[in-house]
Amino acid sequence: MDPALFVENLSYSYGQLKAVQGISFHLNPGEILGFLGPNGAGKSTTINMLTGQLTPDTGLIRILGTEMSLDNPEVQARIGVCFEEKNLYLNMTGRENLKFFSRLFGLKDFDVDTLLRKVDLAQRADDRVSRYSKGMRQRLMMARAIINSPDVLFLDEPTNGLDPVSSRTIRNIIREQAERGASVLLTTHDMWEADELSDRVAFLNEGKLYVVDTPDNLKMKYGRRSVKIRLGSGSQVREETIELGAADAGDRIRTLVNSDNLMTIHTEEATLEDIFIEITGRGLDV
Amino acid sequence: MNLSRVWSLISGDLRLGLRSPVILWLLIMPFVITFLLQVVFVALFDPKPRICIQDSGESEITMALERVEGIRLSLAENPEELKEYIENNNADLGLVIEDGFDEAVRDGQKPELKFFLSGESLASNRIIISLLVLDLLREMEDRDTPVEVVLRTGDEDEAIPIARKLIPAIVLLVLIITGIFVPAFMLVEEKEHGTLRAILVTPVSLSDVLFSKALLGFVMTIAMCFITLALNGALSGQPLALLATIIAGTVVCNAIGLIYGTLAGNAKTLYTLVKSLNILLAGPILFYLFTGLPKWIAKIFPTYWFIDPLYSITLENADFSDIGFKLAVALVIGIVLFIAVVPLSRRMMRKLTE
Repeated sequence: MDPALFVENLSYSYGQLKAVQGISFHLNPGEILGFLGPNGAGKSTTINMLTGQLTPDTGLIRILGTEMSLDNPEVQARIGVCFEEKNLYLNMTGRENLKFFSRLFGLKDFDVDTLLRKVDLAQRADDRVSRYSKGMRQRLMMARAIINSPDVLFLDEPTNGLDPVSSRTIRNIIREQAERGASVLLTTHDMWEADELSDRVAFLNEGKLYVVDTPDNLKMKYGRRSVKIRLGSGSQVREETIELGAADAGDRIRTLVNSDNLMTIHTEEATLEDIFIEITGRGLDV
Repeated sequence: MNLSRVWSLISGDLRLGLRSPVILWLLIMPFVITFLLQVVFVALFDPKPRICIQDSGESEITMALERVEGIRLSLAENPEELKEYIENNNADLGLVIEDGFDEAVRDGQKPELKFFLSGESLASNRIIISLLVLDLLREMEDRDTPVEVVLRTGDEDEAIPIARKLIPAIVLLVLIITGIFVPAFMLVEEKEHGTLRAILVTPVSLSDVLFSKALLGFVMTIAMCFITLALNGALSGQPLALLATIIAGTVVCNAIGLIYGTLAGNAKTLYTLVKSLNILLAGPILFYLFTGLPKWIAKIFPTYWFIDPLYSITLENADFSDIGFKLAVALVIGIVLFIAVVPLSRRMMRKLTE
């Protein structure tokens, strides 16, 4: 199966600052790839190159088998982009925004109402966007990104700073798009979201790509396989951590579980953030 | 370039433009400027003489005055009404024509003709009306004037009233403001709100965007120029030459507008550019308002090459043969400026994503 997105040795510098340094990866059809990294890691620069807004210093980008550039309408007709900044026409209504972009894509018989319902904006479709809340604007941005049913979807921090309801709506749309067969490149510094949504995650830091793998594989490879058991008697509380790889792990767990003083048992699975720190030596702080 | 996408962009700009106070102002500007011009330079500086007549019979003088352009004639029913006109300064001069006045003149009886003067009237208006009435009386008597009067002014340019001299200046103002500001403002708005980036990740190309802004500016500017000329009664007998001149001017101004638009990152910078550089672009107009200034200096300005033809057509009824070379120079300047937009637009794209 040919990848929907193929990237090889991609680099970009802002003057002396090397924003992206020779990264390579691919994205399969129907796959969600989470691009994890702190602010300034090079995530947005990478998306700008992948969507043709920036010309890379070096490297190759192939989307749906075609080399990417800004003047490539055939490829651009098949991608969708949701920007981190809220770049909507504030003096147009939500409906007008979507209709305007549908015309730019040359879409005929475009059903704006269905799309507005999908992002929970049907009730406010004819209000000007300037009167929308942050969450509503972001949902409209998401609707705009999928207006052409794209084969490759680039989402730059789509749930950043949103309320839980708007975040959930957007995550549901991302899942729907992947189920439909769209490939999704999702940049985020929210490791929970990346874990929840991504088939694979890529760790980017200071312009370098450290690893690309499934969250499960990463947890297996870098996480600690251990169980933490808490025992209590009166005001005395005791914790024991048992490494699952140890030869006597089963016996020890069985003994403690059968104890009268058992309070709680937790698996000590590593989070993506733990793994990110371990691999890159830097946290995912904003 | 894809024309259907260009049209989609223009229709979006039109929708937004009609909701933008800036664009709405540009649309009403010709009307406002024309109104101001009429009030300041015609009504205040060049008021028409006003005469009020109380005619008891049906004098030929009254009928002749009704046909004279350039004066305002009012008719009073009775002497009291005429007195009221004069006292309130609603007329510069009042004239009482008794019944049988015309017959008395023709019979050589030298009847009395009473003039009432408003104390606030201009001396020039009093003289104009008095001489006009005396001329009409001579005509009534079938008498020729004893002398042939020939009026000459020291400088031919001085003979053109200031209100008319200002028409090319107003059109230049429309060209500069609409022609430059519309494409520049539309482009800067897209950049400032980030919508340009959103457009450019669709099948629309940057050249589609720039072309749509220039085309909208082009159509609006030409329409506004013709409206301005029509409002000021300056649509000359050389419509093709006038259209060619306005097209050349619009091309130059639209190109400058795109240069401003690609250079300015936000509306504040654009306003600074417009305020500082548009004064220089309007420079040539000084050489027509103050005719003593050496005209070769005006040729340094790119706007001279369409302003001079505009002045020649609207005020001197020049035709294509008189202005062809200058229009060609203006078009070349426009093309060179459009070519300069290409590297500037590349720079703009880099800035957009940095």
